[in-house]
Amino acid sequence: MKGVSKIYRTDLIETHALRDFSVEINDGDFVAVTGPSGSGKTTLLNIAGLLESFNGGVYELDGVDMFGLNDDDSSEIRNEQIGFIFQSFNLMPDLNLFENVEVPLHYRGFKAAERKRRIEESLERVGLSGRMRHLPSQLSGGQQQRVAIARALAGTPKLLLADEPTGNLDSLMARQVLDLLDDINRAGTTIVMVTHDEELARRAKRNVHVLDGKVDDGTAYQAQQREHPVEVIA
Amino acid sequence: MFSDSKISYDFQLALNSIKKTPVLSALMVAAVGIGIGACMTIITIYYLMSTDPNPDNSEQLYTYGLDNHLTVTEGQEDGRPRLMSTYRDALYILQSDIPTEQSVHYQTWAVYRNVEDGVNPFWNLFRLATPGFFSLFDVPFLYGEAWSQEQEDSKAMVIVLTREINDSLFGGENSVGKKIEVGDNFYEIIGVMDSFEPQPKYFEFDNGFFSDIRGALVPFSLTPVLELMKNSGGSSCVAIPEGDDFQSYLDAECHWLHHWVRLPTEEKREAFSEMLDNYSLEQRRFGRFQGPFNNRLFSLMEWLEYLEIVDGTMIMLIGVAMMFLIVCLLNTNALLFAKFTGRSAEVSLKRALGCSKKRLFRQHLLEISLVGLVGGALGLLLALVGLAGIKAMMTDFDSLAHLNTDLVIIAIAASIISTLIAGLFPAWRTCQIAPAKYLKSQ
Repeated sequence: MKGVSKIYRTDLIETHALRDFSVEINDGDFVAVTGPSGSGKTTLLNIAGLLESFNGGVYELDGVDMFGLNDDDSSEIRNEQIGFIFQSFNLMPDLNLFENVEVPLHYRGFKAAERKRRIEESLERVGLSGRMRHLPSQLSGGQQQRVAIARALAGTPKLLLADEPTGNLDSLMARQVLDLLDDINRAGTTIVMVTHDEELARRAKRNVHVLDGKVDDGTAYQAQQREHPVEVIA
Repeated sequence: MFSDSKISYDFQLALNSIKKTPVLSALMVAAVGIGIGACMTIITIYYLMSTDPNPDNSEQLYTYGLDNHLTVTEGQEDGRPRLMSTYRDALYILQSDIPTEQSVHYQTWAVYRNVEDGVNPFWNLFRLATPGFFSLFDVPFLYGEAWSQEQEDSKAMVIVLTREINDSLFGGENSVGKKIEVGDNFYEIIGVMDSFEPQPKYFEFDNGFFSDIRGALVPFSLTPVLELMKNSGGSSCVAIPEGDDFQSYLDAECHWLHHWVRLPTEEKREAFSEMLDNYSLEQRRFGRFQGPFNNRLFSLMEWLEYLEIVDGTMIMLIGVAMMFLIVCLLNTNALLFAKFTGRSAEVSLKRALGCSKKRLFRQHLLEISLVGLVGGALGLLLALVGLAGIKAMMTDFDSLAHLNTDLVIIAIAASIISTLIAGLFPAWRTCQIAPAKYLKSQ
């Protein structure tokens, strides 16, 4: 992302959620986006996940410009290249685990056998292969979040976006989910995680601190840089 | 492209969605069903009233109206000619060789008995007709055939049964060659008609245009022999018969016969019209036809229009039914809004998971179509109930109270299309939900 801006307009007010926001995230990164409420973290994640458009600047995903994509194209990219994990899990309550994980695979147009293989594999990976026919309401919060992770992983995305993935979980479950995210990252998937939790942020390879819609230079690229040095163009 | 698996998945989603909100779905189906049911009840009647009952022949079939008033002042106030023929005029016109076929017919009542097995005698309609009746009106035969012109001319005691009579007297078996007693006379059965239900029953208006064709038919030439007066349907006289005997009845200036002719070419039509006019002018010289010169030749469809089978009340009823359907669809529209608004979070999630607006819109339209389909089926059931109600309340509507394939297709298509129209905006609105909007708040 380079110089990305996002403005929310109403009749009376113009709110700058992101101002000239720049960050480069490399393949295999595990980036924690931190910052106070209202600083623009979720807006950043939404733009990165093509859930929202942006007003200016450049956002390239895997070398492709994401500005002004039509709905069909952005939906396809979301489906094929991006996985989402939300704070509130966002599972469909009337579908069982198998069917929940199956939803994005249907949009991808995979045949039944391929869908089944991917679902079983991803549920296996999050340790829930024995509960495929359970409904989300029969699971604990941590298990539900693992289903959401399985759903995000089933499409083998390049980029996994997580918005407060442990926000609704107790510390034990949170640790399990984070361990899982660590594993996924080690297997090569790039992860961008928004979090309030400093301890969680420390487990990422690097942190990006957002303040008032911009990268806060004072804290960015600091101690947590462990393996992948990154540049920020700000 | 939209592959089969996508369609079946979207169909499954639509079914799940309908099941998930059973009360709302039932309300929508009920709203659509009631609206379609009311509309289809009225439209069925209109359709059957206004459809060409004999499309293969209707352009060649004609009937006529003559005005035989005896004085100038007696002419019909509305200038309409008499719509049936007198016995005397019918006999004259029957001799004309301009029409290629002719049917003169009327109805009476008679007691039927099966000579052989003594089934209880019963009353039923009894028609006297020239053999042209069967060919002009395309009467289908189950067994045997109609009588010939020779049999007509020789006043043969032969009879053609309707299927209904053959069923009740002979259990549906081939009764050709058997004897039957009708009104104290014995006839040889030479034919059994198959089901024959033209709608409307255009060739006569006795007992209404939508009553079943019942009873049996015998040669018209037997009228003076058996002295069978018309006692089913209407007659109108412009003068009191001179005597009490049957010949006076036949000679009277009374209209009671239906007379149809086949005029296959324009030349024939002109010649027949001219013949009617000449006949009318000639009769004036004998003191008849003194009223307005009111001869008219009607084609089948002109005749139905002239008789105003489809009157203004029917058009008004259609309007009312349509407005009722619109009210029902507005209700459906509101219900769909309520239903779709309730799934904003789900829509948001699906969008985030990669479902495009187009696909989501198609999913919603499929769901709406399913509601329309089930609503249409319910509407058909309600239309059947409505038609049965009309049949029970009104006489002579036997043949109107049923739906044919065309009407079933119209009902289902109308239901799906109108429900889609009602649901188009709610579906479109729902698909405009930004994918990020409800993900955090769920």
